[in-house]
Amino acid sequence: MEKSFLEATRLNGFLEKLRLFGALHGPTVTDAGVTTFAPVTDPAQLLTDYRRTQIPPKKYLLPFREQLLSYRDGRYAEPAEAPPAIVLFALHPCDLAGIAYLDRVFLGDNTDPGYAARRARLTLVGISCEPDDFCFCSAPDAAANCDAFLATTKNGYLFSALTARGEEIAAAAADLLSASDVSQPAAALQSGTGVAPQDPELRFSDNPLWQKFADTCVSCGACSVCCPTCYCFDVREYPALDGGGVRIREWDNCLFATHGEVAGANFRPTRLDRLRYRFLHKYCGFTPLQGITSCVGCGRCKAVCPVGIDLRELFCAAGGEMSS
Amino acid sequence: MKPVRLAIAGLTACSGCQLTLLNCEDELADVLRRFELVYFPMAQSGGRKEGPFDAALVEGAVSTPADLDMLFSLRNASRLLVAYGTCAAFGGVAAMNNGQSTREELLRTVYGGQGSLPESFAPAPFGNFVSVDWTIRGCPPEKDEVVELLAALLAGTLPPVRSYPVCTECRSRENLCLLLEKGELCLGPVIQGGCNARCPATGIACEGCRGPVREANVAQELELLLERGFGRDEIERRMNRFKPGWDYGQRR
Amino acid sequence: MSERVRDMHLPFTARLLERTELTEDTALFRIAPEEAALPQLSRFVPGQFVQISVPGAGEVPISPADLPGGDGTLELCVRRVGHVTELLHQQLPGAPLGIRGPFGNGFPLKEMAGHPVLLLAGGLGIAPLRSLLMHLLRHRDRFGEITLMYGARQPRVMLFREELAALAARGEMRLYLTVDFAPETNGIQSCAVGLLPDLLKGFRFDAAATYAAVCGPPPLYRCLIADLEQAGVASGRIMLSLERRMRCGVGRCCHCGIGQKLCCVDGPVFRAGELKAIPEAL
Repeated sequence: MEKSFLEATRLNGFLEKLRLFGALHGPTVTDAGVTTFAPVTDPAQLLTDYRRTQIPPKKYLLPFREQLLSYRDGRYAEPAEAPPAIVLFALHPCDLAGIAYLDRVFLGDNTDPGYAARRARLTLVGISCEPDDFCFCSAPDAAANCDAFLATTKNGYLFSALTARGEEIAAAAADLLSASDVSQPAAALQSGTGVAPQDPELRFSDNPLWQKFADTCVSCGACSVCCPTCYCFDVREYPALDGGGVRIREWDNCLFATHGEVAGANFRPTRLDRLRYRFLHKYCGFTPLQGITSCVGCGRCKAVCPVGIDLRELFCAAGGEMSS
Repeated sequence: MKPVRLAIAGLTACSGCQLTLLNCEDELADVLRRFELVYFPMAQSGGRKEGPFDAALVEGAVSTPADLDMLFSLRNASRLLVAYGTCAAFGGVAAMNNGQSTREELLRTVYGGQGSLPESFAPAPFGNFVSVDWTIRGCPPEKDEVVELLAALLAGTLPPVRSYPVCTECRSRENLCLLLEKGELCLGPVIQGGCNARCPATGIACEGCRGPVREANVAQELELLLERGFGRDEIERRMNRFKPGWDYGQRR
Repeated sequence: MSERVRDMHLPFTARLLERTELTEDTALFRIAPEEAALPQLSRFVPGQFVQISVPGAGEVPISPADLPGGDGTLELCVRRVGHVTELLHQQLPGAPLGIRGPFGNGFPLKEMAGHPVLLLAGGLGIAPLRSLLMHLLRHRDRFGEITLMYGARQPRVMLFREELAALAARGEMRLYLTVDFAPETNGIQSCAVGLLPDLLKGFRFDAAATYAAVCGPPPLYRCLIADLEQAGVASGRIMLSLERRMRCGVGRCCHCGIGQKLCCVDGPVFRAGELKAIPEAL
């Protein structure tokens, strides 16, 4: 029988082994009480049975604000940044699905160099979770996009390695793993979370919720800041006093008035236009991901929205399925 | 390169905005090297307020005839006029009671007695009198935004515009949401960001010192606060602290 | 080690060679990109855009007004309308700029070969169409009849007027100019007063075979599409060059979404047919 069982009492030892692969980060709670992915110096800080962090792990791949370029004497240069090796521990399947989606966007044609460099240095270790009222994922045990996965069982975890790096982790932690007669849960290695892709025509449905959402949305940006797959960004350039300068990119939000603006016109002038755009991007997908939903069902948007907007109500009322 | 000629001045204000510039200690040497501070009465004597200036950074609300003269004079003498700080942009704290009391009542309260009162009128933002080329918000402004402007002036441009509410930066910093989680009177959703959610990051609700964000959903913010049990008076008082005259029905 | 891939965010350096004021707010900028940029730029297809950097202000998408010259120089017709273009207009010859691209799809030149081409330009929309026109004229024998209809607000802001008139005089294309308003007395050669759709209405052409290329302000598209279709031009042959504010140019920043398509990678040239399902596009 394969040695794949990690007793709960051996978790701390396992974490020490993970540190061989980079700085250990995982779900912790801040002084103010916010659940966040952060460096784990003491295993006691780690929350293994957390529900969701406020900001998803995308912050490790796309920082909120990032320098793209600097310039001096009219010549632009890339930042000479070497990202650190990080092991991100205890990621839920929805967040892993979120990273898988971002990978498709940023590692495709014209690979994004900053994203790719950080992604290459990131080791992902998933963990199974218990959905709460905000979750709407369809397959909570799915965990394809990680290096290794821990499926929670009664007295510990079933370890599975999914990549070469996962195998290295298995090798490094070999003395901690024991044989187990508990078989791997069947769903554990299937991918697929979240909501089914939606019909783009629904953006013009006569559902009165559209107008209600447009009236109540405060455009605070929380839904996309906290979404594991929202990646729209703004690019701005700031000169410096010494004659040089920097070009940065920063998370943007399709609900801001500036999002569809050009000099002298706005192609999405009202909040209703922008909500439709959000629906279309989120649930129907843009080139080249048309027909693919980017919603992974983590429930963050619903949890952080000050006015309780849940875009899924638009298609549930229209007859689409809602799995919760 | 020809140095950029600056005027830095204040109308009815606390001088805090001008002080913010002087607090940019790491940058001051560069500023002095690259700018000609033609008129900066708070920091140096003997300036020429006649200009001409490439840019005039002027703080304060307009509340006296002398303020108005100064504003017109600087506007005429400068290629760019910058409303420097929330008072210049929105009226600020000096204007918080504009809707509640008459000017005479306020003057009597301060100066008392039956004697003659100084000439003054309800404090108003620059935009009521002159065209404004750029606005730096905040009470006080963020140092970074002051340096951004100065650097952009050197480059022959203005800084790029940011227009998202405090909430965006606040959430990105992984602060606790004081409005939702603690039911506090936080104005984050309707206030222009750029301060990196300075107050909520330390557990203090946003008081709105940077003024309204573009297309603020004021009516919804009002509802959110009423639902949390705050009285309409209290909410309006808080919202008016830095900017009078909100349109409480605005949803846009 | 494999060859290092160039960061697609990193602009090549370009120098401003010359600027020619065309109107009070529009100028033609001739720029010389550094040599390393030339292989990429030589693949330019009319209708594509480049991202021009003006150090200190940032980047702006611009559709070149001509094909790259043999020496790699590029002509950009730019109106002073925003943050970046304001600073571009302040630059003097010799100033350093940046360039990335070309991006987007461009006009389907192979498909258009052998067909008559009708170009419809409104205002600054002449700029992207001028590069198409230059391509058509340079390969005159590959295409059928070439017609340019160009409408501007008034004669003063009509761009490239002498040049277009000279091209028309060579007999290689038909040229129709129109203005919304014309001052009553002017010494300049007069042109029709009226809107582009009016011009189109009186135009006899082989609609079934024609490809139309349209670029102009947004309201222009809707009425021109209807008129072209009514005249018998297939909606798949009505090519529209759309304007959006592309930040990245490579399909990531998502500011330029048009329905489920992105203007920067699926456009900026779209067929009227494919936009029918995207009512918000125009």
